[in-house]
Amino acid sequence: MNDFEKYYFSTTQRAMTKYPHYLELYERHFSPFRGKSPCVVEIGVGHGGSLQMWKHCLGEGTKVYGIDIQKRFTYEEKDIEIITGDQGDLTFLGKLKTIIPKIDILIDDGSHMSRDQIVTFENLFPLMNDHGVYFCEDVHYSYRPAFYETSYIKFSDYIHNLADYLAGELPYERGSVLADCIQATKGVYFYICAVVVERGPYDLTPSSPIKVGVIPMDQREETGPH
Amino acid sequence: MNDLEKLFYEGKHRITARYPHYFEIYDKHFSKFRNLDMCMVELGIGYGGCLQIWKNYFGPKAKIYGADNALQSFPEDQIELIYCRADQRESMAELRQKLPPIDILLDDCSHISSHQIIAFEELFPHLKDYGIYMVEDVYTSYAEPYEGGYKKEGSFIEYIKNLIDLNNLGTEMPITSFIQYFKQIRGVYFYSGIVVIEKGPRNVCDPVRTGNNGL
Repeated sequence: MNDFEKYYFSTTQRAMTKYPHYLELYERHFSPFRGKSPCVVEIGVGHGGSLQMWKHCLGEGTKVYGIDIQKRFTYEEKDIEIITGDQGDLTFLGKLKTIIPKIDILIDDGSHMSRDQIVTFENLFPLMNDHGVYFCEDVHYSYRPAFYETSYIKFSDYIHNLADYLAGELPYERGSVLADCIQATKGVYFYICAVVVERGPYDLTPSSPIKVGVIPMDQREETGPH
Repeated sequence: MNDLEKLFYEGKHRITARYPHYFEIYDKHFSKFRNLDMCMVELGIGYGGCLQIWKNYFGPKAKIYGADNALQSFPEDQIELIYCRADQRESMAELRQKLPPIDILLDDCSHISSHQIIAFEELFPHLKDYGIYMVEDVYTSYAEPYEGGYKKEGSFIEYIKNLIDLNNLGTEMPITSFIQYFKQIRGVYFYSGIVVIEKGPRNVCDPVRTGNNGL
């Protein structure tokens, strides 16, 4: 059992509800931040149980911000701060940028509405540290008509596009918010019901493969396979 | 620099060409198999330089298979070459019959979408649980000469995107030929030029509530 699983299945602290298979994914993507005083932001607070889990499992110095559309309870705990606001409200997101420090881990377990998820991603992803991890939960909702507006792109399609730009190194127009997100993306991970986008600078120079090694004696004069 | 990069740049192997940023991705997904009794298969071998790098990276218990339609002959321990044609499903099926269960499959073959799909359908079922299926240079999925194009039906990338969609639909999924694959997929990962499909039991159940319900 990893730390997240141990905590999840034994805690008597505040309540939370997660898919159990996420716990392995938290360990996989969040454990590099353990003990490094990460800044964690989670959209969608519920009963607050997961905020305590991040703090407990990521070690001393972890700072957790929970963001929720409504103030569900009053509660005070060191290193955990709850901010009330709507993840789909651009004014609120703009204000949020001035309140919180640079983010290492961003978890979206908010409304699960496609537009909200995309707006949140585009506003907060550029604010993250290098190697930051964005974790969007319950993405299977974005296949259900009640969770997307027909006039707006579905979250699943949006992330597929991001994956296209990454995998194909497709050309894109510089200067847009989306361009900033594409440029900062190192990996896109699709799991059952969850999507992870990993930030990170990586060097794409040279832009063609490097050839190293010895050409076999018998083939020195031929043009063989690459 | 990770060990694979070191082996590559030392150059004590037959010639091979790679994008330099691939080494970090290889190491991330392959390192768990090092020094184990493992089986790796590479489709498309070129001069065979990479097979030698894999052998040195994975250690003395590894068995490395290279499959290609233009075979180089170089006798070397732990490395076996098998003739196969990427454009023929029967040939891929025959290849499968010659191979033990696979830990890592690396498709660096023709880079043509329909070939990549045939290889995936024939060989993914032969992967062990927690095995890694990696397709390299998927840039070609967006290039016409390789049957690719942005959002072009039939491209390997579009095929994989459909797989991801079905993976998330769960019980609402229509019954299709995909069902046999998605039931065995833990995750699908995209990097620049690389797609990885990780195999494994699905292990998914409904959300569980935990903690103190009074709080």
